[in-house]
Amino acid sequence: MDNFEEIDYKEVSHYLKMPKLSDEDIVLFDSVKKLLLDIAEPKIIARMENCEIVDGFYYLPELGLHLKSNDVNKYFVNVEKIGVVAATIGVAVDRKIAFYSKIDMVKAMVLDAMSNVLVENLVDNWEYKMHNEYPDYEFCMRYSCGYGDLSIEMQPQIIKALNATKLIGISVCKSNMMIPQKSISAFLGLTKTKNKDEKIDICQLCALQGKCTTKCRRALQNGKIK
Amino acid sequence: MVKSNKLYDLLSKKIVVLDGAMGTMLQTMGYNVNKHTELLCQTNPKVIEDIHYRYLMAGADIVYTNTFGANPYKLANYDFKGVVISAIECARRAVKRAGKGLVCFDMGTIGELMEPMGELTFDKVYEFYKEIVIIACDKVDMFVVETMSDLYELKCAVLAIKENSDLPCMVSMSFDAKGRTFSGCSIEAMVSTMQGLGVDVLGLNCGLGPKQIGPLVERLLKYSDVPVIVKPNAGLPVISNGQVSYDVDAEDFAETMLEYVKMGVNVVGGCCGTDESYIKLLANEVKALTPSKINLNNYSLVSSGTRCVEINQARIVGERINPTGKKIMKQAILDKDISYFQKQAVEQSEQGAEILDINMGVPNIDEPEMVKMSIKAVQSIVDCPLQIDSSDPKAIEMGLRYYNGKPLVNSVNGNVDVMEKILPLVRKYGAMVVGLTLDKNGIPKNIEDRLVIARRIVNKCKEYNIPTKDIVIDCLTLTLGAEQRQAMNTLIGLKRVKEELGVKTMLGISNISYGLPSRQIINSNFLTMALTYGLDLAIVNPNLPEIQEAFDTFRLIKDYDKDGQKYCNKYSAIKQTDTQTGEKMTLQESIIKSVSSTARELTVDLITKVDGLQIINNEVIPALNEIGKRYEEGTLFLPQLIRASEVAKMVCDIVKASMPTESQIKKAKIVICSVEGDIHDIGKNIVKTVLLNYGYEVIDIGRDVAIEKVIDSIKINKPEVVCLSALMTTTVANMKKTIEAIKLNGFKVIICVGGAVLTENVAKEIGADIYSKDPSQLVKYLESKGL
Repeated sequence: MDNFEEIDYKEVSHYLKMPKLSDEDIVLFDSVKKLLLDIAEPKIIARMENCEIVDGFYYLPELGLHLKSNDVNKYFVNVEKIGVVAATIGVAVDRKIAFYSKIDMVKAMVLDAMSNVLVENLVDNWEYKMHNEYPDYEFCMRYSCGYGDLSIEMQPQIIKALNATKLIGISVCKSNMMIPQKSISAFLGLTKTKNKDEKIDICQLCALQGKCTTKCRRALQNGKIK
Repeated sequence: MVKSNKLYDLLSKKIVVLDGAMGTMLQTMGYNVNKHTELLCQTNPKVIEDIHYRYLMAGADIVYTNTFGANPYKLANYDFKGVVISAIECARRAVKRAGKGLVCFDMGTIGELMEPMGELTFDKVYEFYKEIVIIACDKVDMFVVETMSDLYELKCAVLAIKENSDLPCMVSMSFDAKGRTFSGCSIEAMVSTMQGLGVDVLGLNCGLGPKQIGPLVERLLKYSDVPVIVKPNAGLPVISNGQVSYDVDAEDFAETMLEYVKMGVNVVGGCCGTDESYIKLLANEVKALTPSKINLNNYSLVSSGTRCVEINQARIVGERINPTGKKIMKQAILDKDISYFQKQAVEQSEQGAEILDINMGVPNIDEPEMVKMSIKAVQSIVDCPLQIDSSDPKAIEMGLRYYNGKPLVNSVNGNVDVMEKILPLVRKYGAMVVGLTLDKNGIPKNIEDRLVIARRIVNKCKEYNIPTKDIVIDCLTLTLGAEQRQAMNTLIGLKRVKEELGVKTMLGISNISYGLPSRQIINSNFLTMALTYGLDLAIVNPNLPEIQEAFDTFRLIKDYDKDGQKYCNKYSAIKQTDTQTGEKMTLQESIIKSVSSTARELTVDLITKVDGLQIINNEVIPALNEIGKRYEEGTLFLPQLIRASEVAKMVCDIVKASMPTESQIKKAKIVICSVEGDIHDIGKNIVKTVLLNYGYEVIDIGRDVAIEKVIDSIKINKPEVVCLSALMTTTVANMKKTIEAIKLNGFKVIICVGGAVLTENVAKEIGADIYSKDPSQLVKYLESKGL
């Protein structure tokens, strides 16, 4: 599967909270998609590492990353390997969103939402490859710092462990946000014992539980929301 | 400080061989390269000295000190100065042992992103590099700044070297296969800017292996007037069992590098993955070759931090960021409204301007500061190169210093004292310069005298080592209304300076029609004539259709627009038609349905019949109310809300223009920003757009805004409302601190908060007056308060 460039308009409209698209909207989406694919510079770096439990939490000795999170423990059940990934679609996308924010806010909004889908596609593709490379494993959901109780202060450690600044150009600012903004870092847990049918209610982890108006993409994919 | 000629001696005699990677050698020896390896210079200096020695014995002419990350920012918790001195001593001892070689002090990125993407300021970064240079300059033979991604940061480093030492300076950046760095800098932007700043050697390192860089090396050699350095990795990285290795062996590496030397590269070395075996084979391969002669090229280039524009065909210089004859721009300068400058920049860029003029010439302001502020603001949002337009040398210098790229300076003239003040600045910062054909006697009436002045300017530039390719002559457009015979003199003069002096040409087009009716007819035709006489740079308003049509047609006829592709795309495209064409609508309906052309026609018609306030009260306000209602009901969505409110704003603008100022409705003033630490601003921008469209006066002070800046803005602008945005839970704490500071200062303002992580309860907890989940709700609240 290499669906990087296949941008699902349903997902884009979901980010924009637009339940239906008019013909005019589709024309706009098509033109923004063309622009985005023209300027995006997809780059990804990932490592798949064995993990161990240290002080009750998963630890990746090769990368020196310690996932001190009860939520991670809850959803990474008997995990033996953890994939660590960082991906970006580049700084030109950030610049173009800022550019259109000055003269065409609707276009800027669509570009912003579509960029979210594009960078997620990039990581989806990597995850799909991992499924093929590790057929004997079950995969826990992707998990990022800043989610649940996994502190966002871990962001610089992840970027440093993957050498992502030098290799793919992701930097972390003082508030631990990544630049370029359309970047993702995540952990992927691999286990041999997880029950395939187990459904994870990821909304339970979220700080916005019960008040969510944005509805995240993963919840959409998991059928938690429509 | 004595100018070192050692590098030049080497460059004149042989292909200069640099060392290979330090990290790779250390890794092979079992050292952890994820930590600050620079500290080894103090803790285990013999190891570092031995690595330098091994590279020298393998054939390296120059070794880089082990100081890539040795800067006051990265080593803030260590003995930074001690590390730097120890590192130099390691290299010096190795050179002494080997009995040959030069020591090059190695500098890399400071380690945190610079403005506008990051938080470090230009001045701070400059100071970091300056501190290093001052320690190292009397102990080494030269400097190198390498593996750079951000051209702005590289400029800081080069200025720090040039202003604090006399040593030669080499620079190299890391490019991807398309020839761009992670921050988007192109090879041409790097070459034009660095060459302008006077670096001695430039090129690329790291990033790619030798086999991927062929096309990049060609581009470097094509545009560079100084020796080119190529120092790639040992191929592309391969990760196996957690270990990184590279896929090109020493033999292949040396063989491929030899090709580049034959193409004209004079300085070679290795980066990640290379060791002494690579350098040994490389040195052997190139030892019999003599260095290529550096041929000065004739490319006239200006650039931004990412994009380079070659003046090899007619280009548009956007004239809108200039207060001359523009009341709103003048007021924006007085108000320091950088958001307005940015909007003008984006609009002109979108309409085809390839260079933007920046002129802050309003009396009784701090022009140098305004030039700095406006340049920083504009270069953060568009990738067009800029023209720094001022008669004040201090303002020009400020612009040149804080500009990212190679700018155009407008202008000098035939007065020697003016040239002697401005040309040294042009030379130091490596800009292109515009020379006006006037002097203390004014603008000559005849062509010959204009040529005399142009020649004087060109000769003076030569004295300052400014090459002809960097000179633009403006023969000056005089208005037909007063000097009808001069129009042809201007055009003939333009043609002659170009042919006889070999310079580029520029004209401000709009002057031609000053005081005459239907100015655009004259302007567009004069533009076409000037272009046919050889005009290179046309200063125009690119937003005007007549100007675009004249320019696009000229480019089509001259075959610049290959196969008429751009022309056909632009003019054969079916213009966006209103979906409701043919359907009769009221103004109110046309706003709700976002049919802008109908709304415009109906408004223009209505203002001839009824009072402006009546239009607003009976048509615009009910339309906005209906949009808000539908949005709340979920039958209309945010993009439609924005589009409809934009049409409402357009209607209001037309109405306002027809009303006396005193009878216009004034709505509340609002200061808006994303709080400190939060770099997200899409949500804030959406709210701002809707508020503006609803007629509020919005002062946008940006994203990641420090508390003090919010307080200052409230003091200066005296708003009724302050809107704060935060997207991340981690930045809500800063939102709380900002609110506390506002209250502590006793400002009587309504504090509104919003953002993905905010809720009604969180808003209360942090002391906000109101939480708004979307812009529509905020507008409803403000209207309920009579604001």
